[in-house]
Amino acid sequence: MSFAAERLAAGAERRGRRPDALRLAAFGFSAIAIAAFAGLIAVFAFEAWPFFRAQGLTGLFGVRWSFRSERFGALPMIYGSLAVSLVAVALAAPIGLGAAVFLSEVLPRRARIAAKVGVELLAGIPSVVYGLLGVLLLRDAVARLLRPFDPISGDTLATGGLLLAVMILPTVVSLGDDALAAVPRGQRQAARALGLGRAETILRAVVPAALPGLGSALLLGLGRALGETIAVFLVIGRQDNQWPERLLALEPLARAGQTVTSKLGGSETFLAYGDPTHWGALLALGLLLLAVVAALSFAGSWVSLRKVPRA
Amino acid sequence: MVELSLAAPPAAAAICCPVPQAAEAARGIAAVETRALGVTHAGRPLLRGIDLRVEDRRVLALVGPSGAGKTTLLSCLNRMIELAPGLRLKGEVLLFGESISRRDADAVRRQVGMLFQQPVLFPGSIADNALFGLRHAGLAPRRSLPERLERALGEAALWDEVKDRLHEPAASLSVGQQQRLCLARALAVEPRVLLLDEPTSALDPRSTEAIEERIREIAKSRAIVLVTHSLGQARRVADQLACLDRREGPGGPAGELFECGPCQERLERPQSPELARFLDSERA
Amino acid sequence: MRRWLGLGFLVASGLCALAVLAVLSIALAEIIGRGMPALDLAFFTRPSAGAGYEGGVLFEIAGTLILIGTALAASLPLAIGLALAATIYLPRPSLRRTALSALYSANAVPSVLIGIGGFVVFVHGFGWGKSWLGGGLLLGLMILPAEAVALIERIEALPRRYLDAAYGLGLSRGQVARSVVLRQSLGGLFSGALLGLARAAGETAPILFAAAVFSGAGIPRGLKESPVLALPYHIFVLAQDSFSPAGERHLWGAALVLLVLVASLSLIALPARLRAHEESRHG
Repeated sequence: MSFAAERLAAGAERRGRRPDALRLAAFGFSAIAIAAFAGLIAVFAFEAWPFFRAQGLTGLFGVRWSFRSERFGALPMIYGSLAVSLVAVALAAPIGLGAAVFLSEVLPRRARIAAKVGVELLAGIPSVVYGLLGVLLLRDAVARLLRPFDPISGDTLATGGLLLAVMILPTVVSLGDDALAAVPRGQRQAARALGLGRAETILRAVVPAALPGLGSALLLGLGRALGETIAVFLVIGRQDNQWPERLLALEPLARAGQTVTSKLGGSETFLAYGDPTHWGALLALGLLLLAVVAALSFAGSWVSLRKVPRA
Repeated sequence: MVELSLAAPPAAAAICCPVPQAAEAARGIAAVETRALGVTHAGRPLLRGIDLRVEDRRVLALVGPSGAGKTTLLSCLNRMIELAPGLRLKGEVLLFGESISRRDADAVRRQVGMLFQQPVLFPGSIADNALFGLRHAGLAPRRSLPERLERALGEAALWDEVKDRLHEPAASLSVGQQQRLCLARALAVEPRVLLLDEPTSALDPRSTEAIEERIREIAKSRAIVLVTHSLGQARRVADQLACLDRREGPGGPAGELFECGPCQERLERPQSPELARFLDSERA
Repeated sequence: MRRWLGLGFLVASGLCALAVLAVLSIALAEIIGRGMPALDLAFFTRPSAGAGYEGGVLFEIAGTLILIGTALAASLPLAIGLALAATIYLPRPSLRRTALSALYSANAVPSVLIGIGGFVVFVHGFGWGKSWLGGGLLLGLMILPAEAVALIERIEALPRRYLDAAYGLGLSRGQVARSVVLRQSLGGLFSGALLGLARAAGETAPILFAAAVFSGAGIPRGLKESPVLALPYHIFVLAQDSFSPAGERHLWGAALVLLVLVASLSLIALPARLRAHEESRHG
């Protein structure tokens, strides 16, 4: 608000008006909200502590998870999470950004609005429904596709990656479109006036200007993929200790696996509650997931919030 | 009510517009010519019956009130108007005798450069910006780029100021320098015609003076169309004058051209009531 | 040559858009095609039976509605409080980016972690066992950041002249908040709340640990040990086992019902959001 008006308001308040009930309520509710989220983090830290005390910070970085022998090596799960998420981003990025370019730069206004509605619809499909689609449709198709790799069933990391790719497509398209639309119109005009063609203008002027926003779209998509539980749970096979011999090979993707989220969402979590170390290990895993997803989302949002919108 | 700005011209403006060189005066083909050009939007006319003639190596000042259609007219000359949805064109635009609608639009835009009111910078360095059009038109071999860069920046009178910091971000320049950078960028593709849409309206008087001086220099080898809302600027810089204003006619009020002729002559002996009235108020 | 490359690029982007459209169409076609046959009046009015693959989804729908209603009631005051604090009472432009990024990050917290947190706090800590209230509160926590952001963005979009006029008349911040800000930005709150509800309706992980059971619950009575049934959880459990064709039809029917619920909530909020979105294009 304008400086003068602000001073007037502040001055009037200081002159002893009744304490503003709405202000108290706003601050009170804000405190509750912030406390709730802080509490969530605190719960995880607190519950994970016994595990850290017993096995140290590197306790999770082993290759074998066997709670009966008190071994909580989570590397295969971390590999699983990274594998399915990176596959998802690798598939969704070109298709999603390409679609975003088409939406933002080529489609006329009415068609673009219709398209955005469609994208919103895709984004709103609950993950359990995607999981159902994965179970009943994708599994068999993937099993057929991966026959050269001789998979046991269609429950593989690749299935998870494919399903996640579909799930993060709307995020990538929508945020990509926002990033492209934020490029001022003058840039397109100036490029066209220099004799650049339509595609050239998009590639040389618009996309470079939108690059930070496009990057943040991918970061946020990656964060979403890493945090997705239910759909991945249903199609990934949930096999522990699938640690690949060669990390960057394609072959492990054709086998069943486990991600951090599919482990956390499973029945082992219920069972582990009584055992401080076991329970602590699971919560430590959750803490790791929280940290990574929060960092990715914060970075992605930070980048996309570059300009202050106020005129 | 014709509202043109009353920018006070510096003292030297008593000289008005320079006299065109006699030898080149007798040219048959105009650099840019429009014949019965009209623009409509959803059936309503924006421009009507525009017959404009821009001579090579001359500066034509296009003046008129806001909303008359000066920018619209300008964008017809380099086919930028096609990028705005819903506008329909009538009539012809000729570039050195050839109709521009029959040629490739991008090629036309390389021949007819444009400078906008606000400097538009691409992300990147000063050199990146200046060479932007040249690089992506693929017209010049990479070896010749540094030389073309220096030539373009020199024509825009920017070379001395930036030659030691070509790789710094273009955004670090002052507004006046940015506009000169845009000028250099437009000149780098070596257009034969240059369209300037109120290029100094966002600039301070000193930068304005610098650009006006550049315009006179550049016009020695090109045709220039300068849209300006300042009669003073027209006086200082232009050879020819054309006025555009909305007038009643078939279909409704639309921009029409009047008062076309040698600048100095028209400003001293205006033939239209609008211009006369305005010159009076400027003198008073 | 360059012309063909340019054209090729535009065609490629069009193909990408087509691919996205195709994915959407296939997904919707499958859900609708397979789910429709299961939908009759009985489906909506009868409880589930036969190990869950038969009967209707009456109590699942009821449970979902109870959960999202609780989530709304819990989250809305908090969201309004956050938004007012951020925009009216403590606006610090230097912190804006940080605060919004923090909200976006909170929005992105994996829902399974919220569920586990609720398991610790509500199920065991408070001793509620599986309870509808715990589930509702967890869902509320999950949708709170998105609601706050929607409201903040709507408030920031208010023309400054309204605020200036009110302050100029000597109104205090609280009065301006009540009379101008909240009144004008209710639309943003409305659409943010609807989208939050849509998301809450479809989430499984938060209620997995703290609220939902698969069978043996109806309308909950009381607070402790009063779980509910819920559509997403119902589908989740059933999807993990193999089943007969009839069971499969029931499953798709449940999925379709869930999808329709979520889509309806989103679509109501759509016109307002599209309007705001198109206004801010091409800055």
